[in-house]
Amino acid sequence: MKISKNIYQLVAFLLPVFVFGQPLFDKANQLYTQENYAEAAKVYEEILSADQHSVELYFNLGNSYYKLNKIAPAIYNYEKALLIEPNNKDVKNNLKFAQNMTIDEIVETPKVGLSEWIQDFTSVYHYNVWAKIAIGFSFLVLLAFIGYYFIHRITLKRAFFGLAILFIMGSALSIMIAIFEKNQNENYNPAIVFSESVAITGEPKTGSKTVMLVHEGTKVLLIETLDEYYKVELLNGTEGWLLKSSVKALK
Amino acid sequence: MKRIAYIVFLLIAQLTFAQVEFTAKLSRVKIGLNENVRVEFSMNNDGDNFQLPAFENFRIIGGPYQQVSTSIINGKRSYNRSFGYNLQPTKKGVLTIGSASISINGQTYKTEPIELTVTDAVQRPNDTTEQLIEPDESVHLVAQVSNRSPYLNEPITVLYKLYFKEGLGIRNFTATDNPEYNDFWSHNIETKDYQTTSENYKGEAYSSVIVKKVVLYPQKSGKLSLAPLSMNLALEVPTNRRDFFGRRVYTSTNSKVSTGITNIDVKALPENGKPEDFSGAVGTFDFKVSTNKTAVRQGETIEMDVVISGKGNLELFGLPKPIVPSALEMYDPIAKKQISVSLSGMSGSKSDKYTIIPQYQGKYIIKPLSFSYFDLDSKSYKTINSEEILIDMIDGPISSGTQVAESANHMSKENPEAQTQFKFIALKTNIKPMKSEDFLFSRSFFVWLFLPLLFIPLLIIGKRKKQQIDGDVVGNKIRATNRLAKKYLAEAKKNQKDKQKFYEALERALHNFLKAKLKIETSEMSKDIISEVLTEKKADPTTIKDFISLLENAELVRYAPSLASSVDQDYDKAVKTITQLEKQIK
Repeated sequence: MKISKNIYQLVAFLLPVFVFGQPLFDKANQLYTQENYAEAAKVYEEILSADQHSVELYFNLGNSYYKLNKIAPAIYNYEKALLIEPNNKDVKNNLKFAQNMTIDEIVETPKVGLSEWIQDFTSVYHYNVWAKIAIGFSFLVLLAFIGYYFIHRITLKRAFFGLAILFIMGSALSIMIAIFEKNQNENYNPAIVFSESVAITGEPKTGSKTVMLVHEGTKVLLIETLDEYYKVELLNGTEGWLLKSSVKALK
Repeated sequence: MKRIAYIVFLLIAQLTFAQVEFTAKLSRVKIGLNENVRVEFSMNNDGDNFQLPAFENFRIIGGPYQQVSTSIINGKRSYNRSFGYNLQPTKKGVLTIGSASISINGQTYKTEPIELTVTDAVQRPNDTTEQLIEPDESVHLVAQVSNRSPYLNEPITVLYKLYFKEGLGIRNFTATDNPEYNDFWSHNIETKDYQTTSENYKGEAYSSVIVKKVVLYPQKSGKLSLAPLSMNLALEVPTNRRDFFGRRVYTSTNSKVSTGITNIDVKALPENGKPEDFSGAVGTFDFKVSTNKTAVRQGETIEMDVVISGKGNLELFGLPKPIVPSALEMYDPIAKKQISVSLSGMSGSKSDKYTIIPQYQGKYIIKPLSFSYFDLDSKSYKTINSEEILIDMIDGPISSGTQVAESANHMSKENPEAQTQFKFIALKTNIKPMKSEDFLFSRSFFVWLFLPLLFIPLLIIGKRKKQQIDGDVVGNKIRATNRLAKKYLAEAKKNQKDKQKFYEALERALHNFLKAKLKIETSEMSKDIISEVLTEKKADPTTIKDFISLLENAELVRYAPSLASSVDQDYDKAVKTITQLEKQIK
């Protein structure tokens, strides 16, 4: 009952999208092929403004901006695409081209240690996927319990009992990982610098000492916010404050 | 007589020859109180023990000046030695200089005392020749500043002019005190050719000559002062004397002149509208950034020129530095300057030449550079922006580290291009609404998560109930056989109203029971066989008897329907018997 209801909802959602989004996407692609990049970007943006998106949409929009030599919007849209699909090769490839145009070269400091290894592992799946894995374990628990409960041979019974315990732990662990991932995800707030150049200062006020000057297209991680300032961390570990208006958050 | 005369002559000659002279001489006999007099004691033979007079009422201001001269003329030797003193009288009146003494050849000689008249102090010293022009009043050194309230970094010129009265000759001048222009950038313009021009100075006709030209750029705002320039002049001053040929006689004097301190009030540049990138350039400039090419292949270099040309303080500010993407390797610039300084200030151009090597394939934007300066004509800031330069590296490795670059070169022979191109847009997509709710912690998540777990207690409860039922053995069996018997007698019960049919059904039910339980076929069913089998199966004899009687009853009613018998009673009996049999049969 519930599933079918969900499907109806899904169909109801998707229906206008197919009617509205797809033709616009094709139209924009055509404009892009005709090298009318400005118009293409406009049409892609139109789809986005209707609260609809896809990896390819962001990718194509990024390409349009790259062709228009607009560094920050190009990088912004590629990063947007990578948020949905972190390992898309085409997006990564073109992002490199766009990053070539940026002025800053911020080398990401490699993180090492156990916590990093754990993070690498947990980030293999999105937290929604981890939630589904937890449900899978939950069903396995049921199966193992049935085995344990209805089979009378003592060795098998023991084996099933052990399995059930294992699956319970697996489910609990998956949920924990999902919560951890969700947390990580919420704390990961990347943003792209849109101002031509902006000073990262030591304190959130005008006239504070400049720690570093960053330029258009550079990726920063937002940590805190105060008034019209963001506390940010660069990929090389530098921390400081910058004006909110100079960056655009990816989330 | 003749002989005597000769001797006398000889004696006289001898006397005159050997006569020792020791005299005191004054340069003047009448002086003013404020004048000096020179007294000289001279002798014509060398002596010892020279003693000065007391010099009362005089003060020695110079001396002794000793002079010794020996000459031999026609074999005649003459000797002269003198002691000179400069004296200044201390009071007026007729003063006497006492006698000095010396011993020559053992004999003591004395000078005559000399009288000197000292009058009132005189106005003019003892110049024998009167100068027509007073040098101190007729020579002036002036610092002429072109603008006494310039802006910071606005050029000003200082002309040092020497004014002198017509007729005065300047032989030479040397600067004794050359000002150091602190707080200024200064440039001395060499003057080799001193030209005299006629000019009015303070209403009088003067000749003037420019002795020094300096261009200054103030480096500090506020009241600044220029230190004075002092000069020593060697002057030729005309006198009222004429020489033998009637030409005017000139005397040489030295004179010192100085400009005095010159104050300059430097205005700061207006803060209002000062551009952020303003680096202190003041003047009129042109700014250009250009590259020699915009499309390159791997290994080629690009040269970029940043040029500022025009008039202004070119030496005093730096060129804006271009900002290029990090993937462009840019080397330190080669600086070039062509600046000339004239009275109106610096002019020319300066440039930086950068060498750029792109590293990876792709497009690079060199952001427009901006250069701001303060325009003195309009008294406002002006900014010139260069054009944005787009550099396209047509081929070469793509970025993402050297590994990819190398592999593109060496490994992938089959399709090296495919790896390194800017990818075309994707043509197919699956557009989804942006707002997708999290599955984690959604309602369906919890439902799916706990659904299997909910089954577990259900299973447990189900099994428990079954076990309970299994555990109550007697009751269970009774219930089970009762159920069985009732099943068999269901038809019979339905026909309780019709006696005939009831017994038919009852008989059939009993037969069916036996068939099911004892596997006896209907054809074999006789009372003997039944009781035999039942006994074999260890049924209770009374129960067997009841069973047989029930069968008999059913038969009787079939053949004699009028026979009185209780349907209800038989039904209960049948149920009871079947139940008991069920229990007893093993």
